[in-house]
Amino acid sequence: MTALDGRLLIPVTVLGALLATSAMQSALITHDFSIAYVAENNAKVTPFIYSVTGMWSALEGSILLWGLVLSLMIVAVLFRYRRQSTDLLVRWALAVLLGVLAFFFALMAGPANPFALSVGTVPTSGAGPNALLQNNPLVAIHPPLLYVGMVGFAVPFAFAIAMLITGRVAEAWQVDTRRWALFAWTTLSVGVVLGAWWSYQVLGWGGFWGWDPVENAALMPWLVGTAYVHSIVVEERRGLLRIWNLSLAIAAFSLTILGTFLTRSGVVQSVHAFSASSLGPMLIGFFSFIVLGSLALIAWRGDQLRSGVGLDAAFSREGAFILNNLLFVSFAVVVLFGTVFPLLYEAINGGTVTVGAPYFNAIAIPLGIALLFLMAIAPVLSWRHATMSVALRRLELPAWAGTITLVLLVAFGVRGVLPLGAFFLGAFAAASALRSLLLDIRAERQHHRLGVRALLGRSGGGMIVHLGVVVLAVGIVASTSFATKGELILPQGRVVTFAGHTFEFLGMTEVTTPVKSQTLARVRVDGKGLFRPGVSQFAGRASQPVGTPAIDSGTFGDVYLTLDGVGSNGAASSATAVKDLKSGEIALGVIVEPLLPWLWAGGLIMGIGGLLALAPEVRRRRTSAPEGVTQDVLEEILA
Amino acid sequence: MSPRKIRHGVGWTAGILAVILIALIVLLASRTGSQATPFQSPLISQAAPATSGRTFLGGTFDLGAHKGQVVVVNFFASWCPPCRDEQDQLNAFSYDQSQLAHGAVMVGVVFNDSDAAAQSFVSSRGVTYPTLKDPSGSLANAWGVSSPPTTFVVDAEGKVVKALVGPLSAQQLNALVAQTSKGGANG
Amino acid sequence: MAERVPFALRWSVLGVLIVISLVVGSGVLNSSSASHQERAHAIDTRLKSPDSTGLSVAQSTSASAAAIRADVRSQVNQGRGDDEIIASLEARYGTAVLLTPPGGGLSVLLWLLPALLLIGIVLSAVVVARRRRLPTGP
Repeated sequence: MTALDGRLLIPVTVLGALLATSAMQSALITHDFSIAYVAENNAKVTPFIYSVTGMWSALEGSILLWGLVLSLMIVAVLFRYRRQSTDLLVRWALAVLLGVLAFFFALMAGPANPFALSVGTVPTSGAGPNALLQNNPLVAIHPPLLYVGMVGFAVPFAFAIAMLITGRVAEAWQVDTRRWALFAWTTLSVGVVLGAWWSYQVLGWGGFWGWDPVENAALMPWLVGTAYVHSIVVEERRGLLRIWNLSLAIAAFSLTILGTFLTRSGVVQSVHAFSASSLGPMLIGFFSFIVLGSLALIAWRGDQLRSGVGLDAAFSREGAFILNNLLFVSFAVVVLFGTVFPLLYEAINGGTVTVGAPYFNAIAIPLGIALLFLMAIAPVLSWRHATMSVALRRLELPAWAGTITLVLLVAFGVRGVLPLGAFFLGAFAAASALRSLLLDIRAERQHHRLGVRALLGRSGGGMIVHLGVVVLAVGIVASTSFATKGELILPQGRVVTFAGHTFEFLGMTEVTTPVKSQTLARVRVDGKGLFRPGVSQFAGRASQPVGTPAIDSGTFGDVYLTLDGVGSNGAASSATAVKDLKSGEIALGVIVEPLLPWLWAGGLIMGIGGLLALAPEVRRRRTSAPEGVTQDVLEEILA
Repeated sequence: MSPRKIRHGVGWTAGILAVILIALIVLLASRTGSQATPFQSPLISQAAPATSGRTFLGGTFDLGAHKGQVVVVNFFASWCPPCRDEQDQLNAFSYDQSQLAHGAVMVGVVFNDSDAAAQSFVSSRGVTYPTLKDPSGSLANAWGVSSPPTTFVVDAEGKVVKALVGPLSAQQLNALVAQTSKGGANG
Repeated sequence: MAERVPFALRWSVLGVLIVISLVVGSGVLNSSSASHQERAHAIDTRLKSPDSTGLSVAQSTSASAAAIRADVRSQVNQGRGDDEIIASLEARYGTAVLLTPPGGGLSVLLWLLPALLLIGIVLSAVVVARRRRLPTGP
């Protein structure tokens, strides 16, 4: 190297980010209220863990976290491509990534300065974190994981832009970066599921997803990311869909910026918006620059983006993946439109409307059904050209698994076409995934290798992710279709039965720590576990009491408890006094939600599957004809 | 397909997408910058709902007793960031009006909040005008308030003339009140 | 070839079982009219609770949601129709209290967009499927 290589400066960015992070953490942990951010998000009594998480509890700190994660990711890219470091395309990709990093650090240097000093006299104690952000440890995991996922999509994006700029769009760089996309997708999936779990535990209505704008902001990149991890397989195998994949990579990252804008600009109202800010114009400006610039680049390079071959047949593995993509991307478009529609309506008609859960559910339910079906049949479709008879042969056992499940459920009294249809398709899809896994395990054994190797790599990991999706879907369908909700008036000491469970109110208890004071009701569920739903008030200026639900979790469902009212007993308490209740009684909100924990289990399985899919691919051939499996088994049964 | 056809196809698609995205960006950009926006409350031009009750200062307040004066009714909550933002402005407005001969009366109403938190908000922000409690939510129900901060301007005859959602500035409020008083004087 | 008949038969059996189970499972065979409570609950799920949660009146635990639930229940017990009840709440709170914008006007777009996307997907599938049936050109 004769001139100073700019890449040497990249670790400097990490150094800067780490220094800033340590400075912020040290200020939070030592409760240094001379810094405005600490004064607003931390109090003298805030416990250690919530001081640490305070860094991402509000805007300025979140930008700092984003900068930290992105700078580390750039170093990882630098390391991964160290042998191609002289390649112009790699350098362009790094330049794009550094440009994004520069934007975020510019935000921090200017309008979103985390280290702005407190105005006026330094308060003796700060306001403390928002109550909803300091009563559950998931605040330590969900935001960082979500950020890793979102920032991760910057890498395929950067390479897509680099490909367009250098004109080398025929090369396989998108395929090369597919593992980054898969890693980002896996972390984003787990991050979103953890977010749902966190709001379930904390918000008190017994639900986990409200189609809230901030939730949608994280969902949209995930939907496009899911499409991308599928279509990239088509590009890898058949060389198709190059423009499409470039566009998806750009879209996924652009949506993360748009999502940040929606969350932080105050443009839409949300229960998850913990701070409003003035960053709106800058974020929307950055978003415009990215999307319009990318569109211009794609239009410029249009003629070079032609794939050599075309689609052979619609009924094929490629066809199924393309349909998957169309469905996921369409859904992302509809979610985006539904989220911004109130703004459009206000701009044109002047009035306010709400686009709420019923609309999004009306779109999501048919889509979910279609995707479950697709998940069932895609693994049995051959590449290039699939024949119906072969596919049906392969699908027979999974179809029987689904049908038997359906018949049993109906026999046991489960009612409702949509839930039953979903359960049928779920069993069908799970059996299809299992069939694929078992065949691969058998193929490994036949090559004298460990069967478990079949779980590694794209196909094995992918099938495990599909299994996780089925578990998640079953959890969602069961808990939303068959939940039983009620409000019980519980006098002290008497046992009340509701929805197949018994509840006994043992008495109130007050817990006071320097951080919070809680008014809790001690409730015994089913004669076994003791739970304490109640109301908590956190120390700090203008902090409102928040309901603290208690959840009795079991393998087959949750019992969700909230303290809805306390009979006035003359003593001061922070739980709402309800007039109709006699002293010594409580109003206990109970929601029985079947199979709800399967949601979190499904998310975990998806995460494991995603990680397994990152392992190096093992090419294997299934030596005996797959349709032979059904033959063999049936011959044994019918013999 | 010939390269030229592909280029045209890609160009057209990119162009259409660009138009749609520009429309989206313009829409979002025009909405940023939180400020109070008027909304079409069904109460406009109707008599204001009966509003009375105990205040945090220990006294009572009754809207009906203030006929002949313009009254500004502000629904707020301690947990709502725009409410916190606008509080200083509301204090300033209330002070400005108190210096006038026939100034407007400012009253706050607690929305979906606990007494303790609202009390703490009122004392720590130095609110000098009356603030009504609304424990059963009946006032919010009667005025049709769904999200704070929501502010109503009631003219001297007790009719609701303006409804706004979002944080207000003292300047805006002074202007609104001046408008309302003038309108009343003209009949 | 000989086992083709049992194969088709097996799939027919599967199809019949699925259809019968779904019909029985749909509950059309034992119908009952919605009780007052169910009607009130159904209306509650269409209204947005006037607090910051964005939840429906049926889901929210806030005092204002409880107030609206009580109001809806009393109106249902008085025998008023669903649309009447919803219209009365819309008159008091404005259109934002409805969880789905009222039909007509700009709101048509909300349903038009998914419909167009669906049609687009179906059309592309048809076009691709038919294109391949034609003899391949030069």
